[in-house]
Amino acid sequence: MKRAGLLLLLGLAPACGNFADPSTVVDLRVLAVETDPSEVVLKVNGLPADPLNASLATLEAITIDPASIPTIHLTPLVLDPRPAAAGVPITYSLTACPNDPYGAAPPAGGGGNVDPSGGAHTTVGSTLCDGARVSWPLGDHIPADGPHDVTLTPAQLLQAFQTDIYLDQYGRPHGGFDLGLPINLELTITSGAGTTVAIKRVLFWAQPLPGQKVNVIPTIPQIVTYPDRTEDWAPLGTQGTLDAGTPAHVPLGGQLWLQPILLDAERESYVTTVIERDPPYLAVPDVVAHERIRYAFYTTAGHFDPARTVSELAPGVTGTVHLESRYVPPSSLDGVRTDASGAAVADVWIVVRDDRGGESWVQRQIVVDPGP
Amino acid sequence: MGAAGLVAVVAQASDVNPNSPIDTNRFVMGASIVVSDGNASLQFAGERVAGGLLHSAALRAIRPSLVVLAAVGLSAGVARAQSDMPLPPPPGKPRPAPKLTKPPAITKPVEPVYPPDALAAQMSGDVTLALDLDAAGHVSAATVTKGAGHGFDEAAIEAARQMEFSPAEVDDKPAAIRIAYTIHFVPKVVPVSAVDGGDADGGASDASATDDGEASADGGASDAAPTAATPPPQRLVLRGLARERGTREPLVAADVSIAAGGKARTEVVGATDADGRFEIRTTAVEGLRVVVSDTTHEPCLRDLTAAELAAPTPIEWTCSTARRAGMQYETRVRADPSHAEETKQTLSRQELTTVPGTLGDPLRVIQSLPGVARAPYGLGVLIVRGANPNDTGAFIDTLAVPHIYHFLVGPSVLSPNLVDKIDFFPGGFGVRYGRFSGGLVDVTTRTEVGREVHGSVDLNVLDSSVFVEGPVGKTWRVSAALRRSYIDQLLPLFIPKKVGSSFVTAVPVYYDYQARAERDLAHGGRLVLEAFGADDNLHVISSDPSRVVDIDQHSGSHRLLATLTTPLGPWLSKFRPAYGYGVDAFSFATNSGTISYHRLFLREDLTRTFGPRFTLAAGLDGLISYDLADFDVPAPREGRSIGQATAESVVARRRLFDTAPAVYVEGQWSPRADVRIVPGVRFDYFYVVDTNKYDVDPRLSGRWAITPRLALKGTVGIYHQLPTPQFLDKEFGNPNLSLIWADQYELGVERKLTDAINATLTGFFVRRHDMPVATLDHFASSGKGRAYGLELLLRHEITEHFYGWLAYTLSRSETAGNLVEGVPMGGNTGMERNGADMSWHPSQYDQTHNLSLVGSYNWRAWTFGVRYRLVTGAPTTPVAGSFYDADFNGYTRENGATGSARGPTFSQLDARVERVWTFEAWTFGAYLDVQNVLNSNNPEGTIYDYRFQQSAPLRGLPILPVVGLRGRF
Repeated sequence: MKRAGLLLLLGLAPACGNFADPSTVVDLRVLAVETDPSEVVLKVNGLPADPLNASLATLEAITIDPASIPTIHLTPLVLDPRPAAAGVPITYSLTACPNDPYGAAPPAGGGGNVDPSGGAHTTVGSTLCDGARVSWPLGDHIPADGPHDVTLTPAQLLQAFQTDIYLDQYGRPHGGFDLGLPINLELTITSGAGTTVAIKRVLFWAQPLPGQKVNVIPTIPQIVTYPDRTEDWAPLGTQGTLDAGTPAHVPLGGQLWLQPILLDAERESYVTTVIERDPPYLAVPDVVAHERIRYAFYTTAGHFDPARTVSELAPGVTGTVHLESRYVPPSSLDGVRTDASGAAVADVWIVVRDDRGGESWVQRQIVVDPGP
Repeated sequence: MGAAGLVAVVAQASDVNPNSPIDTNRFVMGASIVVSDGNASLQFAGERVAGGLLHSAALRAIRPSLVVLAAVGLSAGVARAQSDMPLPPPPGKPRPAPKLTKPPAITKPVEPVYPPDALAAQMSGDVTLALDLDAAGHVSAATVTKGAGHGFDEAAIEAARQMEFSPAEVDDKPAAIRIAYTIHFVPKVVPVSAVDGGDADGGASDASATDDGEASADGGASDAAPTAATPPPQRLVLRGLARERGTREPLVAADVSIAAGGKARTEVVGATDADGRFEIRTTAVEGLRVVVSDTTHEPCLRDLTAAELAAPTPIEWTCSTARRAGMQYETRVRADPSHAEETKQTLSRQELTTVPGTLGDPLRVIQSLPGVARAPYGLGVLIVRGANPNDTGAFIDTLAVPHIYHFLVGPSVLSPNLVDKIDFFPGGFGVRYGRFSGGLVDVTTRTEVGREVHGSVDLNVLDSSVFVEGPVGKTWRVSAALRRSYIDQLLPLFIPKKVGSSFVTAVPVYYDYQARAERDLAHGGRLVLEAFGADDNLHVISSDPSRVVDIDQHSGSHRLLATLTTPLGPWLSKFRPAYGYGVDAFSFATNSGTISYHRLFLREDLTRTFGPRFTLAAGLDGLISYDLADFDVPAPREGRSIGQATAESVVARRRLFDTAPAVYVEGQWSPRADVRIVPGVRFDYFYVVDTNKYDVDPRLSGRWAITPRLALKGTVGIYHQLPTPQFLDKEFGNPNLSLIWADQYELGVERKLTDAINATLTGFFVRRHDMPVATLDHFASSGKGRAYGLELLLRHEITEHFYGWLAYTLSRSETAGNLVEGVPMGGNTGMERNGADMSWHPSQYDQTHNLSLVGSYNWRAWTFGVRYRLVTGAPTTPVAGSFYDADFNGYTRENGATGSARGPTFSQLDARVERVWTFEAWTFGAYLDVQNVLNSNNPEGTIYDYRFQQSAPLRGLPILPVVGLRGRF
């Protein structure tokens, strides 16, 4: 309890940093990585009939039907608005490796600060392939401006299944064979001005779960705009849409609310596996009600507030869900990209994710007018 | 004293009951002595010597410029005078009560030589000595326990070493004994007065007639000199009570003098008793003046009127006198070695309530002692020798309490008025304590509270408190204290309201209470009933009135305790049943959890002395606990979500019945007078979360007093404790975790550099084992820790104007494995979870250099104090880089070598100034306590931007001035 008090104090302490806004892209950034499909159901033979008594030996005996391994189309959303990067194609090298169940917990994953297990209720490691026991180079100098096809071999996947095994505190084996196998795809991206690294996973299921459907990648069908909100956060003023090729206009010192439209169909119900909380701690199929759709907003000039929104409030929290974010133009037009007509243009991206590895994005423009 | 000589000896021993229990195998007692030339005698148990303290006839033989009085404090002074006394017994494990059947009497008095310079300057001073008398009554050692400087100390020691006493007898056998012996050096008051110093027994000196004659010659209106031609003079009886002005504390052993006629000529005719009372029987002479004086208070005068002199009934007089300037520090440092442990530090009340930066809170002072690491943000946690705060136990009167500090920067949970002393063990504590593997704090509440009616009210910007004590009926003494904070009400008044502002801060809301009743029982027994508790809430204040931050944190604990101390044949028993209730609850957004518990404590501590060399202590330390835990937290189920897994409401309900009985046995063996060896063993059994755990902890400590000023000491022992309960949970933890245990080693040397300055240097080495580490989603007992270092305490004990200390710790604390105890849960730490990184690295509590300087100076009614701390920055793990995790839309931090960097050095100056006004029956004080006077930045950590490329310091507490008022009566 005292520790919680300390955390609260630290969490509530006024921040002293004057950091760059995460919604403003000023240098080499990876904003998203789309993999299509985002998850794969394999046909695996020889799985242990009794997962509680699985052993490495039994797992070494499994086989994978090559026909069940699809080609994965990988497309990164990468940009570097710095002048030094202009005209230089952005490329990346690609490496794959199995999940490291012992790796660091992913950012914001695992349940948060008050998870009684210490925020560790996931065995999805957020690690690079450098330290992995096995990794597979999949290409160099891959252009980042389009999709790239990735195909893993049965041997690689078998090795991954055998690598991604851990024993829980009661000695029960778990891992990719019963919980799903994340394969890390690591992109080392180079622009004309720098290098950065990103990872993206594809989840391979060893066998279909009852009622399981492969994830459908979420999309953003439309973006609604309006200039202001009421005190109750209702749209105020003339509403419009922000479409590709038709930029919105915002004066310096003004603002514009952007609200991605979320269709109910985007929020899929899905099946996954979880470990039972009570003995014998079996991995069992579990139906989760629906996905939570998350939006992230980016721009090359100005910033968004908030930078992220989500389609669902936290459990137990009541209120209205707000997906919109407010675009705030920069304080001046210095350094803002201009189009052929001389207008200052802010490029805008909205990325949508479904918490199952599915992600996509839309790109729009906003013209920042000099002022009223 | 030169020609002054020893003039009289008076046993002020009415408080020394030879049949009262003596709780040490080398008795420590007091006496009261007045020294006269050639007529010295010492009475420890006799009635007050009749007549004057200073016979007029004798006085005539004394050089008029000087009187040397020697007085030794009595029972009340015994406790204070136990400094540096070896071989004391452990409180809490009282021994059988040997009885002092014959006190020593001085057979060879030796008069001290008054230091010439001091005499020339008309300086006075008190020197308190500890005299070790062997079984033959010879003075085997004499040490100054409270010096006066100016040559007084040397003169007192020189005289004392030549003195001889009749053998003291314990249980009718000659025995060694230590007595506290204070010599008052006072320039002579006046020569012989003209009044009768007669007493009730009619034991007036042979000088009475002469005196009377002189008085008669002065001419008394109603009190003619006793001649055959005149009627007998009117007799006067005056009964008085002398108390200190403001505090109303009695003046003990103060001189009572009378003067008649000329008033410049006075004669000491008696002394006040332990309650400050005195009685004068003398001849009613016109112009009679009564004077009560001692060396620490202004004289108290009373000129009797003619009507009073003629009154047939006794005169009642209550004399209130102010403490003299420079005499504010009245309590001595109690380096009371009454516990067997050799490495503890004991602090007195004076030191505990005036240290800057602590707001007068006694328990905060511990954080300025060697071995204690600085806590971030001034939080009330004890980080001892690099151990997790959970490893250090907190006890009140040997009863474990969940915490001793209120939330955040709040004070301790116990009223300073009830704190008698605090024993702090950075390690090496004895077997009567258990269930903790690090250090330990035991707060001893005051006994003898409530003999008189007293009280106090303290007000400051954080909280207010009230304390009262007094007798109830003839047998009970009661006291009670209550404190309540209100910073949550005051702070919003100073925070500007602004819609949209993101300023949010958390403030503690707390209260605590203590109530105590005690009574003496037959045969030296005592019954004490106590109730104490504390309650904390966290209140969140936002400058945006429309913003509601849903955070609730609550913690409360309450204890009922009875202590029955009584002899059981040759054993002394201390029986302590207690009941405790506590609750810890939190609520943050959709997270909520409540843990409540009912606990029954049962302690029985038995002690018995086998001869002068060996004492045995044994006891039962029982604990029965019924815990109720209800958690409702959103948590993802264990699975493989690619993205932020949907959290579900996880309701955990626990009803656990746990028991933890322990037994211990400890011997205290003194093969020689200067050697003490304390072996002990403790057996603990735990039934917790349906598992059985047990341990056996052998411990050994020893001390060798090489010289009266130099001692070696050491301890070695095994210490076990349970992991934090959350790690033992069946679902979220691992109930099969082992007990955490440590083996501790200490070796130290104590050196008394001067009469007022002591130095203690202690080396320590601690190894910690079976610490919980993070494995995938549960835990294992494979973590390790170790700590080693040197601790130096250079301490200036409380003297008339000053006290202070320098505490320096040079240490290294390391861990191996990804420990989870004390590690903030969750968050993007980049920490791997294999628990297998067993390389040694600095623990999060490692602080290589830790220096604290504390000083407090008293001048007249002012007290000025400063505290300065200089501490190595805490270890940090540097950011080696980061990469983007597209599934979670966040950056994963890549760590450099664990603990391979340091935060900035911490440097902070605190100051305190206090002014006290003394009135007739109460005192009023105002203080300003300023933390971080220089407003040093003192970063407590580093915050990063979203991708760990930019960083900024997380600043520590800014300057924090606190103004307070307090009145005491």
